[in-house]
Formats: sequence, structure tokens, C-alpha cells
Amino acid sequence: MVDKVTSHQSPVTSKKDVRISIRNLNIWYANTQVIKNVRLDIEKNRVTAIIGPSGCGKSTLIRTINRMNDIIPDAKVKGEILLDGKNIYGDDIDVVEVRKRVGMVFQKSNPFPKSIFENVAYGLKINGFISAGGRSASGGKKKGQLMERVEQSLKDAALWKEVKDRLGDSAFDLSGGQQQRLCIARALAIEPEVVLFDEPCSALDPTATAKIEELIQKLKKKYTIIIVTHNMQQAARISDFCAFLMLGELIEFDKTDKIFTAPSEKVTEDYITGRFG
Amino acid sequence: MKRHFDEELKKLNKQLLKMSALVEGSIGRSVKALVERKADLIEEVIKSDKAINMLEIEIDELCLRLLALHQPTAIDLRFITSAMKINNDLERIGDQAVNIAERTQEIIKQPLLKPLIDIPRMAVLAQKMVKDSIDALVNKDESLARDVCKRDDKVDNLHHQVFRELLTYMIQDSKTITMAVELILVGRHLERIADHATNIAEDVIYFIHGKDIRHHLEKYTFV
Repeated sequence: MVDKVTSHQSPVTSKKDVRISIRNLNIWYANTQVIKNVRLDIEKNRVTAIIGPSGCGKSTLIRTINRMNDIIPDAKVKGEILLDGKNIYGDDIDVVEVRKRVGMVFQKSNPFPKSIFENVAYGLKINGFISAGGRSASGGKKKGQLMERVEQSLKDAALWKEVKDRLGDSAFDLSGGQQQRLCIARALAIEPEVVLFDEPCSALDPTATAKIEELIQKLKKKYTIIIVTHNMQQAARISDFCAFLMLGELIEFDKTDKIFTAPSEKVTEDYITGRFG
Repeated sequence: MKRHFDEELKKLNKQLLKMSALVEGSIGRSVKALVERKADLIEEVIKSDKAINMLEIEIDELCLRLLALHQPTAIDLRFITSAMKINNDLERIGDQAVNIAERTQEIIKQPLLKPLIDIPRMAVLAQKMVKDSIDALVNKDESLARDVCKRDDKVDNLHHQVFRELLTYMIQDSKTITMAVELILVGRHLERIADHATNIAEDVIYFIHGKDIRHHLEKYTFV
């Protein structure tokens, strides 16, 4: 099992391009091991897709990258995840800080029951940003920047034009695709380095999906992106690197065009051509 | 898991085999017409070219439909894209057979300059290359495909030999020029058939392994 995982050369060629380095990662839920000795390098300013059949550990793996698995009582994590060289599972790590640097967008859009503006401003306010007329607990250093940041985040999430005249409306008034982009804006507002997408388009129609995909392509200029997807064509369209996971093992990790034209492993080929699954 | 898609791929395979059988038949008849000086075979070659052209369009349409509807990946994608290219090469081979038939139409009006030796040898080699390249596709036989690529040199050498020999005839006696040029063109058409067969063999290797060996990228070494 170990040989198989390490037999693949990482397609990430230069060490200095690595933002996240997953080293010998093992994860258990109670007594069931769901991730087995995974090694994976995530290159900065690139889109890395994780694909694999249901239950292969894709979501578990991505959730580990911003320590979302901490909230699952039975989950046990062994191994290292180095974010810019520092282990996020180290003793001196502030989980809140990790989650600030590694944002996440979920399968189902989950806006807060607040206005469009408040949804994006929420995380910023917690971090000391205040509106121009408000009072700042931290001395007003970030005074006036709140609106600017909300606007920029909505622009980055390609939603600004559609909502700029109705920022006070409830987030629930938006369409499904818009709500998902709002959640992306919310994640981008606190300026993370990495954005994790866990099946971001599975509940969206083709038009909304196309918008999110287009957006992800733009976002990689500023952020490092990891996306879990069931949609193979989506992984093929938007990712630069692709990791194929099965039964918790990393079977193959390579450049996306290589994976989808001439994968090295028979089992990868069988999966992406729909011969099993 | 059995896929409906596999049935469609089988159909494509079958169509390619049909195309290849038509094309091989055309080469055979065009060369036979030349060697045995049979005018009736010339007509047959020209007639069957229409069927080859129609089949080319049919195969291309099938490939496009499979690409659009199934969005294939990996070996399925390599098979369909290779099939499109092979289809095109086969159709071009069919055209070369027609060219040979048209040259033959002129050649058999006059007595031969000399007995045909190298041209029939080229024809046998080129015909076998076409057949083997398609066999390699059907049987996923990489070594046969590589062998086809190697054989191209033999055909090229014979082609040069034919040219040199006919050149001497033309230098000695200008009355032979018309006939010699016709025969040089037949040599050229056979050489092109071998080139197309080589292309097919290269596509077969790409289909099997996802490795592009065209333009001597890999010097035909085994990997």
C-alpha cells in the first residue's frame, strides 16, 4: 500500500511552488481508517482537483486541510499537513488562524439569515473591520475599509454587478447560483491563501455551474484552490492537477491533462472512463 | 461494468474495418490493373472510391457523436481521436489507389519500357503495411505497429531506386519521358500509401499507450 502511494512522482516540480504539503496522512473515524498514508503536494495559484468514487475519502481529506474534522468527535488524524512549511496539526497552532488562511465553500450554499451585505461583512467584523460611521473596538484602524472589502469580495466572486443595488436584501432572495457565489465572497472576504471547494456545483444548474467554474479559473491568480468534485468533466475542465483517490488511498496524482488522456494506472482509467463505480 | 458506450465503440471499430477492407481492395485492384494491364479493374477502383468517401463521412459523424454525447476520456478518448485520424489516412490511401488507376489508364495504352519489378514489390510492401497497421489496431498489437513504422524505409528505398532507374531511361531517350513519368508517379503514389500506413501505425501506438512517437520523437525504442 505504501509503495503504491510513493511510487508516483509528484507532478509539482519545484518545492518553492508548494503551498500545502500533505505528508503520510492517516485518518480514522472510530476504528475505520478512511485515509491511508496519503502524500500530496498542492501547488500555489493552481487548481488541484480530488476525484474518486463515493466514500473514497475525498471530503474527509479536504476537510482536514482547514481542520474541519476537529469537530467530529471520533475522528483521529495522524501525519502532517504543512501550510507554507508549518504543520497545521502542530501543538502551537491556532485553529481559528488556520481557518482564516484556508477558507471553505460547501456543497450546499449556506448563507446566514442576514442581508447580502452582512453575509460578506460578518467575518470581517469579527476581525475588527467597521463601517465608516461605526465605532471600532480595536481603535478604528480598519475603519472605512469594511465597505471596500465587501465590494471587492463580491467583485472577486463575480456577484457585485448583480447585487450592488440590493445589498440590504436577504441573502435568501438570491438564486441558488448567486447564493453559492455569495458564500464564495464570504470566504474570500477575510483574504485566505487557500480556498477549499467541496462539490461547489452539485446543486447548481449548468449555467450557474459554468459561472462558478469561470470564477474558479479567475480566483487561482490570487488563491490556491483545492476542489472535490464528483463531476469528472468539471475536474478535467478547471483543474491543473488531479488526484485520484480510492478506498482512502491516493492511486494517482498527476497533471490533469495526463490523467484524462493517458493515466498511468489501470484503475484510474477504469474509473474515469466509467468502467466501474 | 458493461457500458452501452462499449457497443458504440464496437460499431466504430467495425466501420473502420469495413473502410480498411475497401481501401485494401482498391490498392490490390489498382496494382493488378497495372501489372496485368486490365482496364476493367480501373473502373472498379474509381467506383469503389465513392463508397470509401461516403464511409469516411459516416465514420467521422459517428466519432463526433461519440465525443459529444459521451465525453470520453483516457483510452476511449484515444481510440476515438485515433479512429478519426486513421479514417482520414485510409481515405487518402483510397485516393492514391485512384491515382494509380488513372496512371495505369495511360500506361496500358503503350508498351512497357521494361518489365515491372520494383513497382510490384513496392505495392506488395505498401499493401501489407496498410493491412498490418489495421491488424495492429484491432489486436492492440504494439510491436506490429512499430514494425510497420520500420518498414517505411524499405518502401522509400525502392521508391528512390525506381526513380533513379527511370531517370536513366529518360536521359538516354527522350521518347521514353511520358511513360517514365507515369511510372515514377505510380512509385510516388505507392510511397505515399506507405507513409499513410505509417501514420496509422503511429496513431495505433498512441491509442494503445498514450505515447506520441510521431516525427521520431522517441526513435521507435521500446519502452
